[in-house]
Order: sequence, then C-alpha cells, then structure tokens
Amino acid sequence: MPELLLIAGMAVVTYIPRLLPFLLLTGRPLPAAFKRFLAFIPYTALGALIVPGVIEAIPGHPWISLAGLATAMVIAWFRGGLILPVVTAVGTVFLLLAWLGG
Amino acid sequence: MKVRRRSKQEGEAAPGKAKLGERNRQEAREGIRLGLPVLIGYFSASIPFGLLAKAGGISLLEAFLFSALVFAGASQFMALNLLQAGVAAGEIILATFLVNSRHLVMSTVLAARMRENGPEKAGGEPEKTREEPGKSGEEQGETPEVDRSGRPGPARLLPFFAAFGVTDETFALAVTRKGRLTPLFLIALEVTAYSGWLAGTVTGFLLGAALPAEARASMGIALYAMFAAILTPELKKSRPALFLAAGAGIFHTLLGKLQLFSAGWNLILAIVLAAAAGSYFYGEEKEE
Repeated sequence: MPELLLIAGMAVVTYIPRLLPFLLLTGRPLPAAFKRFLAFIPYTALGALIVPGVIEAIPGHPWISLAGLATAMVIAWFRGGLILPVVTAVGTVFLLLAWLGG
Repeated sequence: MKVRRRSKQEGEAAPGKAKLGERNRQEAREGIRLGLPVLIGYFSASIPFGLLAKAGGISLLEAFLFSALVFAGASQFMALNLLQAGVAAGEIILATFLVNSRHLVMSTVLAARMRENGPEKAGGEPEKTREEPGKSGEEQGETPEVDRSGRPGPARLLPFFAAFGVTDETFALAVTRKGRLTPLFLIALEVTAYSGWLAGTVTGFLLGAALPAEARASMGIALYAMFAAILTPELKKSRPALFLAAGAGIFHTLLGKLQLFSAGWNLILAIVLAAAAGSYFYGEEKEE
C-alpha cells in the first residue's frame, strides 16, 4: 500500500507542471521575439537530447553508440522517415554487440 | 475514443462542420503516424523499468501504475533506486517534483505553439508553415486574438489530456512538426507513445530477464536514433539548424560537466540558452 501512495504522489507532482502552462497561457498575442525563439526550439531540443547522452546509449560501448547514431543519420539523410532509421540503428547495434560477444 | 466521438458530433452538427471532423481525424492519424517511432523507442526504454521493478520486489500492478500514472521515465527509474535505498516516500515525491518540474518549460512552449495557430476553424484555411530559423515571425502578421475558453464543450477538456503526455520525446516530436499544432494531434501522438511505454513496462516485468543481453542493450540506441532521424532532414535544409543543434549539444555537455543543476534542468537550460543565442545571432540581420 505505501507504494500506491507514493505512486499517487509522484503522479500529482508530475502532472501539475505539465498542466499549468496549458491553463495559464491564454489570450494576448505572443511577442514576435518570443515567436522567433519558439521557432528555434526544435533544433536546440534535438541537439541537447542527442548530445552528450548518445555516448552512453550503449553503456561501455561509446563507439557502438556512435555507429548506431551514424546509421540512423545516413538512412534519414537518404531515405527519410523515422521508423526505418530507428530499426536499422537498433539492428546495427545488435549486430556489433553480438560480433564483439556482448 | 474521444477523437471519434468529437468528430462524429461535429460531422452531424452542420454540413459546414463536416470538414472540421475530417480534419480532426487527419490530425489524429498524423499524430499516431508520428508517434509510432516513439512507441518503438518507449517500448525498448521501458523494458528495463519493468525488469528492474520486478528485481526490486515491486508487484506487476504497481509497476504498471508507475508507468500509467507517472509516465516520466527518469523519475520512475529514480524512484526504484530510492525505494531500494529505503528513502521515505515524501522525499521521493519531492525529488520527483524537482526532476519533472522541467516539463513546465516544455508545456509552455507547446501551449504557446498551439495558441500561435489560432482557433481551429472549419476547413478551407491554408496551412501555415512554421517559420524556418533565420526568419522572423513578424511577416506572418498579427496572431488573432484567441480565447481558449471560447472552445466548444468537450474541446475544453483537451488540454488536460494533452498535458498529461508531455515528455522529452513527445515534446521534441510535436515541436518539430511543421504547420499547425493542434491538441488532437498532440494527444494522438502522446497516446501512441504512452501505449509503447505501458506495453514495454509489462513486457519487461514478465519477459525482460529472458531477453539476451545484446538485445536489451541494443535497444538503448532507439530513442537517440529517432531524434537523429528527425534532425537530419532539417540539417539538410538549413544551416542555422546545424548551429542551433550543435550549440545546444555543446551547452548540454558543458552544463553536465559543471554539475550545477540536476540532469533534467541541464537539458532545459541547454535548449533555452541555445535558442536564446540563436535569436540573438539569427534574429535581426537575417530577416528578409
């Protein structure tokens, strides 16, 4: 039972920060500078989500992690899409790990 | 379910509104389509959670509830660790709040993007393309005054659902979307991601130990591969995208080395600082 209380508490404190901006941000038009700032967010978010975390994607194998990332980027560059790059990257990493014997 | 009911209502309401119903279905379909890679990534990422929960003596129901009610990876793993270490529930909840308060920033950005699109109008309106970096929003003209509370009945509840599913990954996908960002699109994307997270949690709990080590380890690349696959076509198109992404990566690395803030806030700071630096460098002079 204490676990259930813990889960409920965690659920509440996680939901509130997610919800508040949706309720508070209404009305007035946004300033142009803020809109420009918003337009940059996708690129900076992706950059920060990939670097430096990707090095640790496969613990103890930074080069295999980078090989997986490179595979995804090459496929995305020439073929586009999301699923094919993801599946190919996972497959590449799996083969490299198996080849190294874990 | 919600999607269906709403679009049906609108479809029956008036012939002019049938288009809106069709558009809602399209938004939902698009959200699911974009959500599929997150589903794969989340399925892989939550298998270790199920596995660790089981190893830590948590029941299957509790592990499921963690994923179903909290739906925030880092804090779930953290909670398992702290539970193992015998930390009190109150302290774990406080730590969770500190880790997940960063979603405040992500929700703010998403809510702002939605508002920027104006109200959902009944069909016919040409899709507005999101601004490329290096161009300002000024030439887009005034954003129409929108009052969210002006939405019709059930639509008012949409932000409550949309807010629940905001994570690093759904945020990254939603914010990269060109054109409109609607609550229905966001919810469809989140529900798809969510189902992967739940399925992975249960799978990890029940079968995780049976998976070969290489298979478990290789899934660690899935979410990074997804981020890279979203980013790569953008790099092809615009040079600022490369500098913005690289800048954010460098900021994130430096912040990680400095260890002044928690990991979650380092991420947010890197995103915001790089975007602010981008506004500074590309903001004015690159306007056409």
